[in-house]
Amino acid sequence: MTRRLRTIVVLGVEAILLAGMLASFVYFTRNSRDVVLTHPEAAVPGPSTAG
Amino acid sequence: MSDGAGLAVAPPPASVLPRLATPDWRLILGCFIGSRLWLTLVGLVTLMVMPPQPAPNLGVASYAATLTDLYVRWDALWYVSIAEHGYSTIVPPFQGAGTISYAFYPLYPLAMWALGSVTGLSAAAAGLVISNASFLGALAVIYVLAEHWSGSRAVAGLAVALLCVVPQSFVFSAVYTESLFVLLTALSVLLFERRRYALAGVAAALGSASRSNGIFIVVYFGLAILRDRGLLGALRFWREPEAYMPIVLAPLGLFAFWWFCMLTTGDAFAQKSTMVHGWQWAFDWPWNNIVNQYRGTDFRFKYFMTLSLMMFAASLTLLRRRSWPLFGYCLACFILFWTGNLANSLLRYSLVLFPIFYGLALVLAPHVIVRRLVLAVFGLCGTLLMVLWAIGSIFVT
Repeated sequence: MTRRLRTIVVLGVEAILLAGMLASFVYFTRNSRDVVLTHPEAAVPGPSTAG
Repeated sequence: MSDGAGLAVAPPPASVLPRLATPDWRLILGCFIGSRLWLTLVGLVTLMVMPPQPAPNLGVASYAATLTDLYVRWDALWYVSIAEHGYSTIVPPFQGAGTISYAFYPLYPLAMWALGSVTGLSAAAAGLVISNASFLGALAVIYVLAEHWSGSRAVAGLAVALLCVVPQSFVFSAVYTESLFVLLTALSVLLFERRRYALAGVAAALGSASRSNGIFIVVYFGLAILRDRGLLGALRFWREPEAYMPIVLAPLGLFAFWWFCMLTTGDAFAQKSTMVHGWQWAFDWPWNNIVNQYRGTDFRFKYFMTLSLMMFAASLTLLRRRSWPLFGYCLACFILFWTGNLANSLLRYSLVLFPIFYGLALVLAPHVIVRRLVLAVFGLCGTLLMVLWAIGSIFVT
């Protein structure tokens, strides 16, 4: 692989990874719902075995 | 690299770089075994003469006086639970509302589960093996890095010794993520220095899957590129795009965890959600948090904040001609630590910043008496903290 081709491949891989992470982050911020507020079992204390 | 006029100069290939030193295994093994044996002995003797304090908020009535249980305290119980049962949105017994296992990063419990599955070890025992093996590996990598940077075997040896005896260094042998994290971050830095960029990125990505501050190693990569190439050379990233690969790869571990959280709970940021609702974590500016800890009535928070400020002061030793990118990495992590309103565990969080021990070693190495004094004080304080750890004190979390 020539130096020029290698540079293009590496830049391409980096661009794809960055675009994927950016798209993921945008998707997360738009679609995430707070797990504690949306899951009843997460919003209450665990069963006490004290006593 | 820069020619002084800001023009980029092609870096030498890895094959012509000076060969890295081999670790002094006798010294490394001596420090590792000596410190681990001493701390374990102190812990076990403490458990025999002083009954452990009850820990009702952790789901156990009291800690048992066994070797495994000595190193399974506080958050270690969460890691054992994740390794044994996976992540869950159910709040465990004795825990407050909103405290779920998604607060903890996945790499370490995943490794515990994998080792346990292969060998038949319990999750806790697998965690002990992983932590201690990782710590030993981290010491070797840090030794090589310190000698590479300083050109001195004395500095490298002292950096390793300081990390072994620093107060609360027993967390490197506990069922905690610290030792695995130090190994991965130090390894990524070493590979970056050797221009093994893809491998450095893989190590950094694994680091970002093991602790929240793992992603901050990109600060070091970025500043090291800036140091070596100058501003113009750094901006011309297309000339050697491989050097930027670690910066691009490092967040992948974090994103993988976010995707896992999204697919299993519908909340990619489940870690933050449970920290906010369960642990009452809240963001504030670092200067506000530092002032508020000292204005508050909880002595424990003052104690932890003071220790983290002392570690930050120690990181100033990295402000030198070649090592300032390491300081930048430490500073970014300290800012992250101080943006949270909870000061718990700040000493433990700071211990993973391995460059601090290199900086301290650089300063202390020429001064024999001061060096011995620091090692002695570290050893004494570390012994005291081991006693507190063994009895389940809230001052060692």
